[in-house]
Amino acid sequence: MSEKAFLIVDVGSTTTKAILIERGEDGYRVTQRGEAPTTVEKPDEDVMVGVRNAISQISRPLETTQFLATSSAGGGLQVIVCGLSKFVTAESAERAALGAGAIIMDVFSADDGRSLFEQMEALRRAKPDMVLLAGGIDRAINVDFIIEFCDLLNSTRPVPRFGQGHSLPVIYAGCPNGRPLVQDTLSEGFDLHIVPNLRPDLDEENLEPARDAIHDVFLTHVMAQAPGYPKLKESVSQPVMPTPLAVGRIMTRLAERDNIEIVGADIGGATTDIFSVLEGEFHRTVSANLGMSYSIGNVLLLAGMENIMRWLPISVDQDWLQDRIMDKLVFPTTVPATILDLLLEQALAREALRLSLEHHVSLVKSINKAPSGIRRALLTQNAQAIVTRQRQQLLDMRRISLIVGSGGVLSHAPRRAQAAAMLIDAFAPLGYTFLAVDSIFMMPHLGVLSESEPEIALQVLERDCFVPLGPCVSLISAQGDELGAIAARCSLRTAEGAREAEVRRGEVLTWPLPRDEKAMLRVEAAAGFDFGAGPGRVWEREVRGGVVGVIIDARGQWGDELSLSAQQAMTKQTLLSLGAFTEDELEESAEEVAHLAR
Amino acid sequence: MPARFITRTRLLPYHGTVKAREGDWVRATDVVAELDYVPGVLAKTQIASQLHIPPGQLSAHMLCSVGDRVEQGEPLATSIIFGEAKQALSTVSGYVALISNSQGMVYVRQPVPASDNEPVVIDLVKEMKISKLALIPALRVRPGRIVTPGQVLAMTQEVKPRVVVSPIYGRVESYSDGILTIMPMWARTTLNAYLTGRVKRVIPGQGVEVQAYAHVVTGVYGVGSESGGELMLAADAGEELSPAAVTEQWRGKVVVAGRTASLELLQAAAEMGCAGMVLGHLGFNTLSKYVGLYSRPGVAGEDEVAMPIMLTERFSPAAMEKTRWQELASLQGRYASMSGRTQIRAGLVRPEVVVCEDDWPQHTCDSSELVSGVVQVGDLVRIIRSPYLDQVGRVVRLPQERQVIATGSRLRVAEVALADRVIVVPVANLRKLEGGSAQ
Repeated sequence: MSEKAFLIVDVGSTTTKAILIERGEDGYRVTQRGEAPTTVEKPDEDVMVGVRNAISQISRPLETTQFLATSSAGGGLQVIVCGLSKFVTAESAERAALGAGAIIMDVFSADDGRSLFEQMEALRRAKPDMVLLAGGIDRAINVDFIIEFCDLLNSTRPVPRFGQGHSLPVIYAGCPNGRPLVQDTLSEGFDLHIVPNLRPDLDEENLEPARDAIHDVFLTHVMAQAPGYPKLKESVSQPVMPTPLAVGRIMTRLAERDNIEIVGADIGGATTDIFSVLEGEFHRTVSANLGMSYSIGNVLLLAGMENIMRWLPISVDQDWLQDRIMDKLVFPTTVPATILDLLLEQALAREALRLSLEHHVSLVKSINKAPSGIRRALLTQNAQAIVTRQRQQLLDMRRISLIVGSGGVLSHAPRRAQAAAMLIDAFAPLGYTFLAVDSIFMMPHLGVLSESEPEIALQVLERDCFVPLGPCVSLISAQGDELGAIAARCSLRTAEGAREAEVRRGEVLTWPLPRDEKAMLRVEAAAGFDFGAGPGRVWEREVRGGVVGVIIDARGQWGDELSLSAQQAMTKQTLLSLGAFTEDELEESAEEVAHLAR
Repeated sequence: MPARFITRTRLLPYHGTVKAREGDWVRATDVVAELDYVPGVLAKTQIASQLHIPPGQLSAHMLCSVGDRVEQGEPLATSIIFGEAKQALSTVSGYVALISNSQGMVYVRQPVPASDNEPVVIDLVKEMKISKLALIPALRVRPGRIVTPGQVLAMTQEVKPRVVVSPIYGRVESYSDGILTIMPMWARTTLNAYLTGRVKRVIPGQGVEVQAYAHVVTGVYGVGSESGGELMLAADAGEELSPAAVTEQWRGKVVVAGRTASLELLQAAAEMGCAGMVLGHLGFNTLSKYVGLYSRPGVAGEDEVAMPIMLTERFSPAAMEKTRWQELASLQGRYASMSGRTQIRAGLVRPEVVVCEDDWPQHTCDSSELVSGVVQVGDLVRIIRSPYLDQVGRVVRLPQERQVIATGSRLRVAEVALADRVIVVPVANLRKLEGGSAQ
């Protein structure tokens, strides 16, 4: 082993994970791992206790290593966002905070539908790490709304989560005319930071200064107050990075290197994060009420029973199923111990992911150009704002080359094929996409490492972090809605030989191709079917294998025209083809349902 | 379960008057704090130009500070111009909210008296002395809209317009035939003690902490807020009542109604004025219909229903656990405080029924309210997920190594001895039964 090694910890909200990266004969690899409960809360109230416990499982003289850290302990970086208009400045401020790795506790705006009193109530209840205050474009003259926000803050005096008795940091990134007023009213009771306007014009965003300020305040103020963090800050050789920001950094590096667009998901018990790198820009959204345990009731309500049931390969009674889901809410830490429960859990995961992606798509949009010239002069500022709200979504699944899943239900699925099934069902990729899962949520560690050692970080990402599930070629469009029609003739040529098969509309075809092995995949689309090369055309390229294999998905998008039983039959075929479940397991579940009905 | 010391923090939603004092003995229904007013509209006064001073010097000329109460006409700031003292007066009564040295302005927040619980009904036709037809273009609000005090509800388009403003904070409930109904959004003007016990601490202007020596029965899920009444046992643990079982006797009582309830029974009990209901289980479908518009179950803990409900077991069919039913039975006839509030995320709030004792033992330290959830060898446990759902047994072994279970997952498991065999169950699917610990 060479002398260059990296010890990296991610202080998560429940678990602190340490990894050791060392150089071996085949390059840099994760050689050791350790984990321990995070100790930011009582009784320890010292994050270093958990860090030391995690590191203690690693046996190497640590003096020779470079020590790095990321953190989302205590629920991560919690920010309250204020903006004048819900769909203009408040939305930009939300994007700035999310991009800085924050969890948005609440968004206040003059038009959020709440009375001042309700806003006060909500603000009093919250214990944020900081407030991001925005509002008004650079040309704004009337700054009365800032008075309302400042008074809201002054009257409620929200206390910071850590370091009671210290002033709450407020970052002002609003219109320049409001700055003296903000200084007048907030400089005494708050730790005020003023940065350039994050929305200089209706058709212009400038999020970086606000993001940098959030990051700086996180490091210099929030971290300084959190129990044990000053010691952690002293020990690391680079600034501690918020966990989601670190994930963004490594994904952006990968996207830049390979010149691709990426979508990632981290599904937890309470929330689901969706990340994307589109046209070189990193985007992140947090669906605060979509998750696998604490938020499962919300997934049920938002998705609806039909949408959940379509992912079950068996027919079940709707009321029974609903109560079973709600039982999970009542006992959120329980785990599925039967195949039926596992099927149900994974069905819910598909819907939580699908809804979170929808949320992501709705927020990640380009800003429309505001009207110019005479039209601009004729329109009021409100009308101009409405024009800029009609924006184009940036995420196009046809351009996504990599989907990465993480979070317990994906990373710890008993079979990797189950994770693949959840990803393709939830995200409905179009054309060619490679699927992977993060084995132990190592992306944060590699993100902070990539700041100083980008190549090493990417090397480890591919070798130890990502578990490659395999390439997936999905139907983009089809003429007609006849199930069972031949959609394509497919062939896979490897060094050992070739395979050929037909795939029918509504089916999934899976061929094994071990990870790191390469093969030539050819999809000859039938007339009217498009797999990425155009209707009726041949799609062909060299593909790399994965633990699940090569997936050709000819199901496509369906609306209400497909009955629930037909959708369930399609799910069954998919699960069996991928090897996610066996015939016996599905039969056993059907028997359990029949038994329960008796 | 024996009584233990517990503490509950009682807080007003906004600054008010705390009536109770530290050390006071209070009954659960006693008022401990009152909300005097809610914050109203900000009124701004341009002082710098009135006093002919640069805005940046405003602070030096102020006669009051942020937070001070000022009356309409009271001087806010003063300056001397050519030897003559000049004053800038407050245009409203309220509390000084902001002093802006950049604008040279003072902002005064006008307090609004807290409204009572009754809806405000305004006959716009009568108030404005116009016809129903003329009222249509004059109306400025629609049902569902939140209104603040002083906000215009209707205004005629005349040289001298006739105006009706909202007297309260509220939501426009309905508009029909010229009658506008506004439901107060801030109706809770008093705060009760919730527990019978001693005021441990006064939080000035906000509320109190009350300590009690009490029996606490905790449920797994609930809806509705706080309530209270005599505890009444109407059914056995496994019994299911028909709506006909609801009688006048149920009025004002916290009723233990057995295994489950139909929607009809819930509605009949709520109509009767039942103070709360305790059930073993309730299907989500029935609960959703009872609650009405259901948002974020288990997240917000803010479902508004007439009669709170507490489930002791789960949503899927289950009888009330015998020990829990027996404990409730032993408290029959006593006054019970009840809260249906459930917030499974962020802080874990579960519903509860609390019966307080008047006689306290010598030592007054709060006991831990949570039984340690860590399962140990020897513990009596209940299995809370399939398979073996609801089976009760004793933990005989806790293997160190994770094991592969039927789903293929590798997890921490426990070996649990049932009456006739030993089974392997994920530790996460066990609930420790109270009073059944290893010792």
